[in-house]
Amino acid sequence: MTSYERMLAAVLGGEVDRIPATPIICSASRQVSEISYAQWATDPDLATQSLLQAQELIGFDAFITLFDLSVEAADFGQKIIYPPENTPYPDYSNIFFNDIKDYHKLESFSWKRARRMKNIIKIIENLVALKGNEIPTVGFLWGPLGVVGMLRRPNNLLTDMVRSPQEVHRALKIVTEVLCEYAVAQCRAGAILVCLDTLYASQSMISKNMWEEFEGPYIIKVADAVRKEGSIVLLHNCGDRPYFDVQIKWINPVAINFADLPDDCADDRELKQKYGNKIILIGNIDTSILNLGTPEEVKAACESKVKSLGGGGRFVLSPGCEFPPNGPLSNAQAMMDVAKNFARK
Amino acid sequence: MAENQTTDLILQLKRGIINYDETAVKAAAHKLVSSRIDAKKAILEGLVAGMKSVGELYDRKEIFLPEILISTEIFYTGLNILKGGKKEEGLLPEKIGEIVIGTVEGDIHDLGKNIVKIMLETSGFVVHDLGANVPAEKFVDELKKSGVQIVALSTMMTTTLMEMDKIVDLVHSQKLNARIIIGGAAVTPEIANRFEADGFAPNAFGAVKLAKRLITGNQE
Repeated sequence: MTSYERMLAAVLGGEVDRIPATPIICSASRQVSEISYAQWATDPDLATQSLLQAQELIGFDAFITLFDLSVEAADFGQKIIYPPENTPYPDYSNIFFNDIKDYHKLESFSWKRARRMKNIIKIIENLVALKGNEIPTVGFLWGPLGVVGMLRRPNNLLTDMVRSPQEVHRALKIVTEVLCEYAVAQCRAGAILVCLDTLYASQSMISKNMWEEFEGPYIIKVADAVRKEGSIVLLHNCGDRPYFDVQIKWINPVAINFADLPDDCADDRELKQKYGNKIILIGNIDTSILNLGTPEEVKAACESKVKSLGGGGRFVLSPGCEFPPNGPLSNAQAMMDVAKNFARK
Repeated sequence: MAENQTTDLILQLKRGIINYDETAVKAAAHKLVSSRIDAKKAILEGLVAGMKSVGELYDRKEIFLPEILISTEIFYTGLNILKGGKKEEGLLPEKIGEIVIGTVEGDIHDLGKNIVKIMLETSGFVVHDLGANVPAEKFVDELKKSGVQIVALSTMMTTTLMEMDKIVDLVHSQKLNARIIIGGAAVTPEIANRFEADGFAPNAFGAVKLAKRLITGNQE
């Protein structure tokens, strides 16, 4: 099977020749092409080349177009800092919604007029044009709450949700309009799978009820826009104790990439039992092992995970979050070795 | 002011913190100030007791970030009213120790660090908060200048994890008499061991317990 066939079969619950695996190599790919983080994040052609070279080296089963969590916010007008060797981040000394009244200055726009979103679309187009038949390209969007958090700063957003919910809802509505159009553009560029980041649906951030009030009604629109284009909706949630139940209720994703056990499961066994038939599980190797462990330690962790979650299929081996940008790529190869080895057993 | 009235107002402070009712806390604090009630008693039995309950609720995941952030803001509002122009020293819980805290260089996330800070302050620690995106050398300078016994480092990102290792190395190589505790989304107990830190805290509650244990040797 090609990676494309394998990943598609896996997320649709079909037979696969081996366990599909994606170490979520995103910015770590710049290590192969020896470019800076800032170049990788801002130059679509260099980023495309990096991802292609990394895939050739490591052999992972999907391109994931997770760049950084500032992509959407940048195009709404948030000033972003691009460090040479670190993840881009909002300039909090110059925050877009400096005051609660600033929520009113938010305006909808088309991704076609946006620099960073347009770059991501170009990268998806490039990857699909060059490798579309062999490797699937996964689109990626920060959820509406995440985007508003980058424009307001998360601590301010979190208190605004209690004190000024109407203002937050207004911003979420506008952000969602833009995200829907951006999601459609990702699908039309060739992303057969689109991943929505729902960090706020976890105990790291807010209560389940609050998430249902503030993100559920918005993110479902983005998910529906993806499905209407014929693409498949995945979720990425690297928070502590994510809320699988309400995310499934609102978004109905095909698969969830997660770092921690859901809030209603005590261990992998319960997770597999409770959710293994409802969704495809994608995860959840600890990124600290990928960052600081040896390839042998990574292999041991991956083998253990395949045993606990891989039984009966409906599983993709991956980390709980992006492969550490400066982590050793030999650890990504170790993850792929385990996936390939399990095919032969 | 009658004693039962004072007790009611202090209870109003505590409940106001727990229920994030800023109006109630402000009103009670102003009444207590105008009645010249012992500020320390009001702070400890009202505001600090309220924050302890909030910390417990957060630890049990009965409340989440929005609630604890608002309670923290209200705590400082009440504290400023009750202390008047005085310094905080002597008004907060009896000092157990001092601690330097900050998010390491390259990481601007300070939400978790700020929650650890308020929990430490309401548990008897004087906190030297260096903020976010703090260079390793600044931690070391602060430790040298203050002679503080513990430094707490936070990071959310894998890209900045090695900054923690750098700080541990600097503290050890310069033979500073400080214990190092680390935490944040990118950190695990295994990483704390690998970096030879003195401890790992999974959350704010755990950070307070760990800091107390390092200072007093007690589990609580």
